[in-house]
Amino acid sequence: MNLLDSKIKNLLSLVRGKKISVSELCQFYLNRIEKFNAELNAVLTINSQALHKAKHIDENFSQYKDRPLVGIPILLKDLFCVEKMKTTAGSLMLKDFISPYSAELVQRLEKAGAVILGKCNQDEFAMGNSNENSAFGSVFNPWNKQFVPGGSSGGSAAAVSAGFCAASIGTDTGGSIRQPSSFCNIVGVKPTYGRVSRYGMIAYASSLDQAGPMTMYVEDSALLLEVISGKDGKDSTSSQKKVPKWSFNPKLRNENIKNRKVGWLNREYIEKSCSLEVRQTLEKVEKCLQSFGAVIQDVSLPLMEMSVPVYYLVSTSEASSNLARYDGVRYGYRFDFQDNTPTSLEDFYSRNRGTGFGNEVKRRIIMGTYCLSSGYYDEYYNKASQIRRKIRDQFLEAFSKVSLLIAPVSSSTSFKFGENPAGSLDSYLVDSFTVSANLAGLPALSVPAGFSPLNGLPIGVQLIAPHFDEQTLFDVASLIQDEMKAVGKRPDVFLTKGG
Amino acid sequence: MRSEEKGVCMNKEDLIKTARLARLGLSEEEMSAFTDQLEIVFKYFDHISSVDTQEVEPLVHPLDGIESPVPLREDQAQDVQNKKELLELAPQRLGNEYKVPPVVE
Repeated sequence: MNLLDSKIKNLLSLVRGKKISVSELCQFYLNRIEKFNAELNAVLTINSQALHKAKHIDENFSQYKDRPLVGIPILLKDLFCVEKMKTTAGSLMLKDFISPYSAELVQRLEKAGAVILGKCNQDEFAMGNSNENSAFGSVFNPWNKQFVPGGSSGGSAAAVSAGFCAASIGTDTGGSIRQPSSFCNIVGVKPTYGRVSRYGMIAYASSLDQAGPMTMYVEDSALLLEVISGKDGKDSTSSQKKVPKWSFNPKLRNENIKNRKVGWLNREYIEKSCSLEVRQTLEKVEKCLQSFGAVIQDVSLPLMEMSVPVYYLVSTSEASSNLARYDGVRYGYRFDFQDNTPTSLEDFYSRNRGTGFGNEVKRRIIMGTYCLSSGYYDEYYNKASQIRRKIRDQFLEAFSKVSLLIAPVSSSTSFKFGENPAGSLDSYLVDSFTVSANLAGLPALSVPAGFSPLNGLPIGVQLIAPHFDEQTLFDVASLIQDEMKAVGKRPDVFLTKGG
Repeated sequence: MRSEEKGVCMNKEDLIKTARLARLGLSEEEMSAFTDQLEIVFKYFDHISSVDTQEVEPLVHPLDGIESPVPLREDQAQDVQNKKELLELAPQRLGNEYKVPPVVE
């Protein structure tokens, strides 16, 4: 029995068949975290109640056994509030914050029988794409520790890849689930905007933020997404759409893919901006889909080149407003004034915020405040929101011709620490291929598709589907999983050392 | 607060004003670094001005026009059950109130 090679449905069979107790399963992952986390810095907090909860499920097994995630150990990005647990958002501002309530999706996971093992490291307030912006130190890529794990859900991606949990939940505002998933060889899904309640998820940019699963296998993601999706009265943007039971029937899937029109997004732009190994991986995926009867055609979204500016203008504007709540009065960090009394209320707030937030967060608050300020609102925030509509409408137009788009997740494999310094234009351009799905609210995922012949690092491919059509994402991703044989591979070093 | 100087996306004066609006205390070092970085970034962002957006309605909710608007629930006041717990999160408090250092203005 190799737990690290098991899909969640197999773990569920083991638990339900009492081949392994929930306590043993949790202990297996906790042991691995204990052994290996110091190398990766992926996990920030262990849930002190995890084993207690596992024991409770074991002792009351008849009540739990039919629940969809009975006994499945899960790590959460530290952006989700869990009652009585530390929730830091990767920031000094919330270093000692103990949440008084649980996020809606956490409640749903627990009701489904999952065990929250702990919390994962991340870029501060989900701002970053390399995990170099955490107040608690960088996360290292388990495939090669000289390289970043991606971000902002980099701790989650590294933890899943290194076998610290059965699955993780991350958040994606501009690629923060998909890009680290690609860099760490796992499956990461950004659902349609509104699929998953944002209640209890610390806000970065509310019209873009969406939580989603990060797992080893495509089916695992679908299973988790089914549990966390659905209308929540506490988030008025959560969708009322019925949550489907996503199917994984290879025969049906292959029939669905036959003659299906699949768009290759902005081929010319990809040619000039992506590394050879990323392009070759995409071409292999193209051939694979063609061999199953899919019809690939070029699709051009001319405004995609504007998506990075539009994304940063919109997201930082929303962030500057969302992060105004951290004032050092009601909760969170406060500057140690000692005898150095603040000279005004403004000075009090400014010093709390100036010393509590890290550099990237401060830079983005400045950007957003500037965009929204008098004299710039029309030129930046409003203009960006207008282009946002045009980008979304170009996607809708594309989806009247094809039912799925293929694109890179990133122009290259993971990059080395320090290669794209925070605050540089390059550091923002890393997000070029992921942000447009957020602007348009579309579901998108990253699925492992190969490895670089140069540095051996993983390469994921991105699939983007029409609103609420996650089934098409899962159909094509599971085909890629079966045919390209990159899904399920873990870095050797975390296998040979055992559990 | 438009800078008088044309062609400059963001200068130090803009940054000082913006930091004040955001109640964000920045060191001299941060001011200089941010000014340099944001000038480059905003220069790139300024490309958006080339897009024709005449008569385009801004999109603030990505599913606008796709999903029917959600009916808002009635606004009902609810009792806070864990008032004590919430107060305990404050860096400093005095009884049932939040405490801040004395401010001389």
